[in-house]
Amino acid sequence: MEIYHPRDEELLREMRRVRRSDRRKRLCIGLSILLILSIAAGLFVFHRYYQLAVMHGAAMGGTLPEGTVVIVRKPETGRTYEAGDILLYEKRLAKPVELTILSPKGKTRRYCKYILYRDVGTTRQYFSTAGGTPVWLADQANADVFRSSDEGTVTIATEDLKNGEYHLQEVMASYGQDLLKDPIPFSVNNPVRTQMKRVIAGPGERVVLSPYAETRVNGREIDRSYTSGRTEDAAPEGRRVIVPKERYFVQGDQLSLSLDSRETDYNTVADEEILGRAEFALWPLQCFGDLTGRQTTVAGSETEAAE
Amino acid sequence: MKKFLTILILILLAAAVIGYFVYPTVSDQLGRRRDAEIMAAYRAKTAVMDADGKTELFEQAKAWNDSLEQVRMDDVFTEGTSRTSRDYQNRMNVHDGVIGELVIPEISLSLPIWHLSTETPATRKLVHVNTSSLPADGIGENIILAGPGILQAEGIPGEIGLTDDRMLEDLDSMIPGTLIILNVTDRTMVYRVSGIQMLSAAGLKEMDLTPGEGEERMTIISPRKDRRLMVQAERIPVREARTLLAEEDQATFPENWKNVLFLGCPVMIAGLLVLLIIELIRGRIYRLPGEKRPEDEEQQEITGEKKETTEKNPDRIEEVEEQ
Repeated sequence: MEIYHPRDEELLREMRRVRRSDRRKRLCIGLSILLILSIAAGLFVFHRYYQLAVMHGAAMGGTLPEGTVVIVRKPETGRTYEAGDILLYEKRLAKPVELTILSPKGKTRRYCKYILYRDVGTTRQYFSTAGGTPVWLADQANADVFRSSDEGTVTIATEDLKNGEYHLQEVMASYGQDLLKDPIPFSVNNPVRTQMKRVIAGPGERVVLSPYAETRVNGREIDRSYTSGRTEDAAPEGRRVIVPKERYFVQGDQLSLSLDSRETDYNTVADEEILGRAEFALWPLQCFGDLTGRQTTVAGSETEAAE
Repeated sequence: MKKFLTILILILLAAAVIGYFVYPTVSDQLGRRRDAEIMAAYRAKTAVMDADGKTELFEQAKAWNDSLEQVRMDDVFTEGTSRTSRDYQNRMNVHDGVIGELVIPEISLSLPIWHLSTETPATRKLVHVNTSSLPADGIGENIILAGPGILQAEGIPGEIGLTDDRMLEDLDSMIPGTLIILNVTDRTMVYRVSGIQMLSAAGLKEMDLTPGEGEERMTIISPRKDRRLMVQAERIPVREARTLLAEEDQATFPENWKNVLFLGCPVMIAGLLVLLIIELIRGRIYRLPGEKRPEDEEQQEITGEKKETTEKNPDRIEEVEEQ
């Protein structure tokens, strides 16, 4: 016969309570660790593949107005982009340097010849584009020669020159003038801008800009349903561009106010300048949503004759 | 049950307090999204419009401007909107009464411009005033736009959430030199702010805003209680505007705290939701076979006690029933 004692029930209840409290404590600790780990892992994965960027200015029109926060997917090796993608890139806005060179007596030095060099540590390197690609040589024999104009001005394109200090050395003076022995120092300080614009043509594609007709890519009309303004305000002269390898033709959605590949000076965007592809707009709410998959040309509008 | 009710009341109170502060922003954002959708439809419509159709729109607008003897501004904010003519409504009517889009990048403003009508009064929408020039992309124009706006410091709590009332609220923070962009069909007109004034309603009504010879102007008017804020701007060439705007055309990377806010918050909310779900189902998973829920045990204890007392004193029930 089982002997019942009321204190057994109380003991049993107390034991259950202690066990439950212990279990609850362990669960809370476990979940907290799990939460912290998941946040850390989430942030790590995000920062490994994505970054946030904020758009400023009016160049992207209604798509990305001032202050839009977007998620950008970082570039991967071998990744190519398609028309319609919005790229984040770092563009160096190269402006030519114009130097007016005077002799010690204050006379302008017309029709003189110069070579460009830079000092790297103790070595001197001369600039050359003889092989088609810009290189720095130790020997001045194959260096590019720059010539001063009627006004004694030397113009140096800076697309291939990094920001820094350079020198011009006179190698030939015009008739009746003595050779300048002192080099002419100058600096290249081109602004570097991080911008976001839409790709409308990839490598090898043809873009035709015209003041009389809509912009065309491979003979197709550009879709105007997501743009504001018109190209003729921005690029009134019109021209044809075949996008080089590993470069992209970009333009803003506010066509009349965007400074982009339609400008000759701006040029196309190189692969190495790309920082990523804008994938999703987070804020403000008016832009919230996916930014990929936009068609930039109107299907069925191919007319080779228009080119 | 009592515990549950307390928690529910606390949650409702917290939601009400948070809602009070968050609602104006959310409502404003929703209003902006609605405007963005209207402008997307506007762009889609102008995209399929042929060049002749667009030219005709501007010709009609020019004819309207030529017919105006004087450009003036009635007090459309207090006197109410009188019915405007069908002729006016049909000119420059690109999409559902929308003339174009006003963009001010400096204050992150982007709004559709409507024809002034009883459906779209100046107290609710950004409207074009029918006694002024339509944007015909020509000389001798003064386009007057009017829209609601309140000063944040003067904001009446009852007015919060009325999105349309906050449209031109930030107009006060503009300074001379700020650029204003007007997109009408595929044309862009850019204006540079030349002056900002605060006027009385009567003073504004008496003002002659007729443009001078060769002038191209835009005037934006917004009420500030019984006074009127007037922003005047002069048109500048698009190429000049491009050069000026090129300085601002760039992307930046947000500060660390913003990163945490934008990324940490969703992860945190997701984590908390997971915790809540686990907490809800925890009782079922972690209970031993035959073990009751703590609430049930407590309930059983109470009912047991009651039972005991009634068994000991059965007359008590009768007393309670009689009462």
